[in-house]
Amino acid sequence: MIAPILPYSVLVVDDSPHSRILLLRLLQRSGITQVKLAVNGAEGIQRYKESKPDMVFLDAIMPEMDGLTALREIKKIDPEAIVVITTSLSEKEKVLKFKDAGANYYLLKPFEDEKFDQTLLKVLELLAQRVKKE
Amino acid sequence: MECPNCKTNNDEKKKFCTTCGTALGAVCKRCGKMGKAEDKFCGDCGTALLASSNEHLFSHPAEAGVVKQYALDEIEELLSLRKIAREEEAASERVTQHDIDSIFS
Repeated sequence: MIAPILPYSVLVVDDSPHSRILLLRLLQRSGITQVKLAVNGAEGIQRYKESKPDMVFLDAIMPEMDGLTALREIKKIDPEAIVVITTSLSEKEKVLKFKDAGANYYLLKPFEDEKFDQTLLKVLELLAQRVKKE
Repeated sequence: MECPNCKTNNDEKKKFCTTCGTALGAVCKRCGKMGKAEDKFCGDCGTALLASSNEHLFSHPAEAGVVKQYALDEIEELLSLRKIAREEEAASERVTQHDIDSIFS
């Protein structure tokens, strides 16, 4: 069964081509076709400013600008930005830093497709709640 | 890594400063392994590492062949360094996706 097209835009920021392609495919499979890609934090911020996506999937370890710095910058631009951290970093201290910086969700790589779907569903629910409030 | 002596910026892999020869990490007196400058205990054998200012505190008694008598303030300092090391260890505790979900719920 083909998933219905969902009217949401996504920015994927990851220096790994494999991760970018994986996330792109998972998003497309879920019906999200408006996907922008960036290869590091600096490019991610640029793309965020240009496209104001509904959600961001952000890697943590990247050249030029890491995910934590990029997260803080994105939250400065838009405190309501929905950001999902996708990383293999599992040190509690680092996880908490992302939480404190305003990350909404945190997906530990490598993740199962099912876990990705669950996280995406939570993001979509959050977006739906915001629309309801408006 | 910046040399604590002459401030030369050395390659991260260097163990000694390429300008003045100063050790760029803390050397374990027991097993000889070199840790990072900020390490307080040896990652290989657990011996307290030496900081230049309090080196006298941590010579390994078993190797020296004598049991050093510590002053109370020295013991307190040693215990506080151990506490810091434990806290740092706790901070680097790894968590699972389940733990992360709890943190973010």
